[in-house]
Amino acid sequence: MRPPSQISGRDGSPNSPRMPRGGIPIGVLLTYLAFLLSGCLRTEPHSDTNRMRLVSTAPNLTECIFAVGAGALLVGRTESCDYPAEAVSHIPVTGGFGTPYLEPLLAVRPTHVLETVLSDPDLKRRLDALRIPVVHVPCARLDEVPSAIRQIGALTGHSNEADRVAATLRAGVDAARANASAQTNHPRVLLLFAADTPITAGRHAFISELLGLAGGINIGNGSDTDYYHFSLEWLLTQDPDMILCLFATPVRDPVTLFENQTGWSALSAVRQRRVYTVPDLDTVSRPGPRLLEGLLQLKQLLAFDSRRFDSSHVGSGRSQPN
Amino acid sequence: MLTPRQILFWLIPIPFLLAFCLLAGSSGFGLPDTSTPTGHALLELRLGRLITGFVVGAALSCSGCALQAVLRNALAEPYVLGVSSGGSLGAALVIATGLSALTPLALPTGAFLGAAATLLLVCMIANRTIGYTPNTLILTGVVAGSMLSSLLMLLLSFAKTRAVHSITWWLLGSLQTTSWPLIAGVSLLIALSIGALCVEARTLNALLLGHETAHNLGVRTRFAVPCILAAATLAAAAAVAVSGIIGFVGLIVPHALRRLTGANHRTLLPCAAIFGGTFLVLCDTLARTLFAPHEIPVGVVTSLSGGPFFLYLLTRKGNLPLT
Repeated sequence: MRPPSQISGRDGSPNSPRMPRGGIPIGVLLTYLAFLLSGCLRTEPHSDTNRMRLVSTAPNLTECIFAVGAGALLVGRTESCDYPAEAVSHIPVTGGFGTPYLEPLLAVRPTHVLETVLSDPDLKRRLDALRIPVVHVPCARLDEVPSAIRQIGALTGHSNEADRVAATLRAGVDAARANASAQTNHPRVLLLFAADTPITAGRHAFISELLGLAGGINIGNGSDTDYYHFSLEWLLTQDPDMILCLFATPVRDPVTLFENQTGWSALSAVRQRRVYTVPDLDTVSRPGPRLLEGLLQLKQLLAFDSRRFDSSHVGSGRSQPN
Repeated sequence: MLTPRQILFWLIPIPFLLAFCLLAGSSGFGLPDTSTPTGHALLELRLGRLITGFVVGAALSCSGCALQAVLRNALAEPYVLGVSSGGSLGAALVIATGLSALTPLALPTGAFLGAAATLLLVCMIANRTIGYTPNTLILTGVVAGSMLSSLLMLLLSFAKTRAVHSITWWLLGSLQTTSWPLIAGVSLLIALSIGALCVEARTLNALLLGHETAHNLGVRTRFAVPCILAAATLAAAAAVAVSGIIGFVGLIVPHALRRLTGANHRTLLPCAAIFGGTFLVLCDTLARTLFAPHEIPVGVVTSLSGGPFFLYLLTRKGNLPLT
């Protein structure tokens, strides 16, 4: 039998401290558990139990909520919600666009979850099971925006403000529609959503409708699909008058992205350097209360192109209208 | 099994098929009017796409043939060593960081570097363990592929919506290439890889009998196996770089041809290059014309058209012998 001294320490010393086998992993596990429990012990902010607590699952819905003056009721937002920047930065993220994460969502104790499209339809059933009302707010098309604002206003008790905002939008859209039909010049535009992937929008996409109001024609209008992958051969046969890049271009002049690429370089729009982007991409692609700002950007862009092309037919290279 | 004379007979319609694919397009059937800039560009696009399709199809088919022989596994295909996952991660990183918008060459470069780094990693790990045995290689490839796929999922979960769309489309595979230098570079690399595999055709025949038997027949397996793996996987990596992930070609073309031409790699590899290339060009022609102007992923067509034929062969002749 071994003496006790040989059992108690690796170096044979009876007094040398020795961590029992598996001690470190257990210690790490306990620390991790303590860390997790600390989250459970977090003090809940004081709140009025009767007060409405909204969670938005889309950035355009978040904008609508703030537009009707109900921003104070918002307790959860998506990672994509970035406007109004200062106000949303204080609101906890409870999911991605159309994809609420259940645990953070439950943690903010919402009374209503607002959605316009959910990535997984089963999420609604799961939220219903948790007795959290899911409110569907159709807000993907241009004509749906005013009604979505009124719906959110009615839900949150801000009907007056909502009616005012919706009426302004409706009046702006109607005026633009009348102007567009009176215009004689309607440039044919390729709406391009990525530099590395040929994706464009069909006739029902919000940006396509907005472009129509501004006086342009989306060459993808022949498709019922919202967004689709097109072939360069089709693009060459369409030969659009101009290309509108709806992505953040890392280069100063977006035409440089295309002028050395086979196929693209043969397009009239590239040869005439009629390739543009807009300063604020969200306002032209997000169906929300800022749609008139987006419309104004597109109108300015088309007017800039018209002036530039009509005057010289040769672009200077800089493509941002000011 | 076909005799050499019959194989030559089957090669006759291939130029006509390729010419048909050159004439077919989403804008209509016929040779574009090359006197106009648009017509010239149309022909250039179709030609570039045809060459890319042929080269990628040849690369995937030959790579599949070689890997099935070296790994002695009927389920082996060009992506078995994880190059597809590595290439996907490389491409996704380039898209997510915005580098892909700077130059059209950034995306294929990122994909190729990711795929090549994965091959290097798998070979290093396999070499450190018990050597280049089939099971070690397959397991290492599967584990490396799974880890890289997980990293890709992590990247996708943090990427912006627009980047997710681009990554998803890249993953679905497309043969649309807009850079002639890229097509030339990839074609050269693939031609060299296929050439190296053809030179090692006798070695592949010997390896089909097992590594030990091949060693006894005079094959320097410790040298030949890594060289064949590198050539086959580099061909696949180059294909991934230019076209994304196109599945099924590297699995079904080698098996179908083995049924028709036999397992002799001196015949099988050139046939795989020619028939595999033609098969992918035909599938791509369908992908770009069936629902024009919408383009469907070419991988969908390869699976839906090649799959039933492969199942027919399987049900008619039973199992999948490699010899």
